[in-house]
Amino acid sequence: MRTLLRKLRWLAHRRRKEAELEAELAFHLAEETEEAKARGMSEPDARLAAQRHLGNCALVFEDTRDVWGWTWLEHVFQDLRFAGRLLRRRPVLSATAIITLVLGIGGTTAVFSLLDALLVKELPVVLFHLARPSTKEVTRRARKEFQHIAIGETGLTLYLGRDCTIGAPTLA
Amino acid sequence: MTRTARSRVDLLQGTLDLLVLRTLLFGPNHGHAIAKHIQRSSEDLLQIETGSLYPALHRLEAKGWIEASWALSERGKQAKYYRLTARGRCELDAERSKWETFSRAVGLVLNTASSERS
Repeated sequence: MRTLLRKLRWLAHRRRKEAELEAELAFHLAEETEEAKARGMSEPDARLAAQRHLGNCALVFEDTRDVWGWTWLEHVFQDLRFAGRLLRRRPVLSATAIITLVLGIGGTTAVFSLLDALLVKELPVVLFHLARPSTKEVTRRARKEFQHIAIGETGLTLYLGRDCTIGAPTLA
Repeated sequence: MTRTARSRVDLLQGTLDLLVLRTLLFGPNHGHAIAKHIQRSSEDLLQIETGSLYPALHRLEAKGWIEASWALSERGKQAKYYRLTARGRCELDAERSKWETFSRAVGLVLNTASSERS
């Protein structure tokens, strides 16, 4: 948990962390150069030897950045930007695809919501089933909400509906 | 430590963490000095590449086992000094006992292999 918080804090200060890492690697290189010079090499030779010892600086930088843990996030954003560029290059195709998706998703949702409000909500369906209710509870609730009550053998089943007929009690 | 097989790299990662923590037990130090210390202590048998060292240092820092601060080095340049945290000290003991168990186990297998045959 603490690791996660630390990594989030690093993400917020990533520019500073990158600058620090560059300075850290530069310091390492300078130290190696000094050591090589102490061993008796000339200045340019020492610097070359130090570079060779360090290996591929850019690779070290990238490997260390990977440890910070947000490279996957950067990859996601890079992919999104790339996708954006691709779509902008073919505006007609992109517009057609987007409009089709909007009509498909939006239209379906709208039609379903409409039908849901008109038809499904009005259906005479069972709202809930009380097992062994007390009479007081029944009458109280009935007076408040329900228009039809059926008392069955396993308990009380309450119906909500506009067009229910008062019939024989049914077992839900 | 060169990277040959993937599994070998993972094993060496844990060992490198152990070596870094042990080095920092003697006091705060910067990356270059840590590498040099390990090299000297192992009689030049272990040469830590920067490509392994700095990811290891930053990984340990992320875990909270070591913490870093900037200070002037002996030569008067700004360097990033790492030091062990209390948590790091506990983890050093744990890692050390794990390593000792592991090396003892390997030693046992290597020593019994010959006697089992005969």
